Amino acid sequence: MKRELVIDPITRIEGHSKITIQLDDRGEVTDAHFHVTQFRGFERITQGRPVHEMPSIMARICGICPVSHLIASSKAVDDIMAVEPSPTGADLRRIVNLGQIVQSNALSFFHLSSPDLLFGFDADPAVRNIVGLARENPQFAKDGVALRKWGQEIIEQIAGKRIHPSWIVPGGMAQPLAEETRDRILAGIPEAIAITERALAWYKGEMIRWEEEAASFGNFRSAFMALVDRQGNVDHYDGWLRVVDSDGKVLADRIDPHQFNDYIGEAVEPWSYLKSTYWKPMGYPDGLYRVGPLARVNVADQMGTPRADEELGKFRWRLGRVANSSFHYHYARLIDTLYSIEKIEQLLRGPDILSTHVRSRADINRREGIGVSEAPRGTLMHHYKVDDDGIVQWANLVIATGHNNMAMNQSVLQVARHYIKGENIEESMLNRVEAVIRCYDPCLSCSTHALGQMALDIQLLGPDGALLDELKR
Amino acid sequence: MADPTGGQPRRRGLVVGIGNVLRTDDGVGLRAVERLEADPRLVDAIASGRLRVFWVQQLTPELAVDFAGADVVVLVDADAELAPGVVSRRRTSLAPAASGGASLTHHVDVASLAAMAADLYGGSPEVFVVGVGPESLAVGEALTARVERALPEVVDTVVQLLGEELEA
Repeated sequence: MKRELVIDPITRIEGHSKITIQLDDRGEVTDAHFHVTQFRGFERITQGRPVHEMPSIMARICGICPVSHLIASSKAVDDIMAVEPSPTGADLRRIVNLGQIVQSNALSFFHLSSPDLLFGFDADPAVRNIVGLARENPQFAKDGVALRKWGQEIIEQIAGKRIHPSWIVPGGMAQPLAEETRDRILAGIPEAIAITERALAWYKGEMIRWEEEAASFGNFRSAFMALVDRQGNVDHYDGWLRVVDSDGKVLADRIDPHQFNDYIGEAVEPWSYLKSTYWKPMGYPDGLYRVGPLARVNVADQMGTPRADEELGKFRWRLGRVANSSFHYHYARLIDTLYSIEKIEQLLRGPDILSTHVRSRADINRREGIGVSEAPRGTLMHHYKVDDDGIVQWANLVIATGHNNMAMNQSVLQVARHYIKGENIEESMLNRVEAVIRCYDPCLSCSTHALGQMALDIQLLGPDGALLDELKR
Repeated sequence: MADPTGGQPRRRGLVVGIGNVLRTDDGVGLRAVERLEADPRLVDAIASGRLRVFWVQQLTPELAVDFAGADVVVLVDADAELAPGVVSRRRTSLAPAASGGASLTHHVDVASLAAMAADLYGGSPEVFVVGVGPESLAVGEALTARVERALPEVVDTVVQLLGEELEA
């Protein structure tokens, strides 16, 4: 008899989802799926809207990474207008995007994943959470808050409203950067670097504790994809798509992001609303690839800033040229954060950063536009089609969590097979199944979060769907 | 109506509207904040800095700093446990849940934020929730008529609450 274990919803990630794990008579895991149970549907409401409204609409999709959607959307509209932002306008967008990377990475590492890392995956869940973190290691918790707040303030100071920035517009930025704003952000750089380097030092010192998890948390061969610049450095805003395999061999390079449809397919599975993207040359489902911080450090030749490059060298010394375990998303996320802070400083110290030429203006010049950037969780693609009046006829968003969908499913299966055996399903086993998903920090956002809707419901179902066991917390 | 803070600076207020404005009635937190920011009964308190009013899509850890800086926090949010259009006000329990917050998704729950405000920053705000029962949480930018009609009551409830608690 087969049995099915359901974890619904997953905690400490965004949106609505559940995990089902198929067990056979002996209690051995035979299959596992990560389901996204809520339909997004945001593309649908954009039809019939003037395309210049798209950035502000898209920014409202997500409370965690509004800037990411704002950037990709603005770039797609730039494409439709056939304009390029001025160099200063593009650099200001880069800074805001990197501020978004910092604050989102801080949330993922310090507040969502560190309770597992700090207390251990077997710790009592009543302690293994953000409140326990604040009580057990207040400096660590404060560091996380401070870093996230600094990233948020960059967004607020340069892009306007903290949650739904309005100063990033098609063609560039709505306003130039004020000198005092630049200086205020620069003043926070030393602390932001110090916090990130403290976290890196702690993480590296503790890595030996998580060897078993690192060996079983999505530890498999796959391709990785990210944007890189002309020199092969990490580039969160622009550049070309590069895909490497598990040995670091370049499978494709200098792919114009506007051609992404030639290389990336989207498959639909009946058990999830989240599309599974795949690398077309390898077909579905063999074309599994990963995106996000781990992909960025695996794909790039180097990060492109001094401290981050030094840390990347140590990362590769420890884990090889390509780190294949998704557990190392945590480590990569810290390097990604360090790079972002350094890059923000470099950009703010640029000679033209206070220039008033921040916006290019044009009308509708193309019927189709594509915008691609790196969001905290990975490559984000916005693709729009408009009529001659610039009214949106069709939109498609390829989100980072979709790129990672197949990898997350494979990771859940691997963890489940490693940790779940026999009749006793312990909380720590279930926590590891959830924790491997949190490595990817998936954004299923677009969610409501009305009070009273969220609980963790774990159900053990028989082959006929009958409830065999249930656990709520 | 007089400044609900009574002109006394010793108690500071924070109103946070919560919700996704692309999810129909989940956007009620923002719509309430928009009205509260312009409400003549609150203008002086906001201008003096004794009252802060803003909106977030979800609660996140750095809000612990904002909580710590207030004596009274009022959260305005859709509450799926209420009938559509029904407005409620309640003082929240600040005792951490049995799970310590682990049973919630990515966003930080109110009790955890209050605990962080206390443990990390020495704050101890009283926290209230003004909830509104949603009729629809589907994708959409406008409130349903029922929740739209409830908005004045939401605003009045918040203003009354501030008047009572900030003068206490």
